[in-house]
Amino acid sequence: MNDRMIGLLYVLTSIILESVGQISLKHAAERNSAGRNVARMLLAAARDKWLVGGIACFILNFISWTLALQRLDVSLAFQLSSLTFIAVAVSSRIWLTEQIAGYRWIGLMCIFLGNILVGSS
Amino acid sequence: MNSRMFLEHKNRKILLGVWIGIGLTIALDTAIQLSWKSAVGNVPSSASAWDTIMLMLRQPLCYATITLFLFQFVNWMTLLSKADLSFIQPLTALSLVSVTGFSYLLLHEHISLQRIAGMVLILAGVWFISMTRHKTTLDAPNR
Repeated sequence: MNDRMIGLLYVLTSIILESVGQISLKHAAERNSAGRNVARMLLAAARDKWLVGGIACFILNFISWTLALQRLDVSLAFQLSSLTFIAVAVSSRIWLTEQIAGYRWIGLMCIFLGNILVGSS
Repeated sequence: MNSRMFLEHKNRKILLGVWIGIGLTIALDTAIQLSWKSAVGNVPSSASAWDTIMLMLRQPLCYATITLFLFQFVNWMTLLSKADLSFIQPLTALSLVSVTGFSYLLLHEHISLQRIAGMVLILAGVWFISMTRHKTTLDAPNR
């Protein structure tokens, strides 16, 4: 397996870790925020397994992305990372039951394509 | 002020707070991208995974990046408690626009037509998303 393939696998890993991490943090924020200010919410969330899991995902994401950037052109890695927007939205729909319809999907596609254009320029 | 007006006022305040939080996210994200890339640039591509991590940990820029991440984390958790993930996460693409603007204004870098087209698409996407409700789920009870 050459460097480029390994780099692509690190990017894919990064996308998955970002999605899982975001969903975990959202769970932690939602479960600990009702009627609380920001400081109390963070203190309550500090003992939540979702927060710990989310932070772990982001630490692993940091490492994975660093290793990806070492092996791939920044522009290629960046374009591929655009898939994160789609992955997070689909994950939000499935696991958080967020309503994503009409304008939000159009906006998402515009941002996804815009990200690719910027990354490839 | 009756209860309906109170709720509308509260919702407007929350929405304003969400947009302020997104602005802060963009600013922090821009700073993180710049410092992170600078730190990685000092590590040779031939280094092993473990050596890469160890070399990164020896750089002051790595710790600056981590500090910015912590501020970003607090800001992001606050945003997550107020709005949908699928609403706020795509809006972080605005950091691309800010980094490009920063590069053009301060570093006088050339911006290609393709890049401009990409940024216009991103801004259009942000506009479409802003037309949707920032929160489509009910507040969960505290654990």
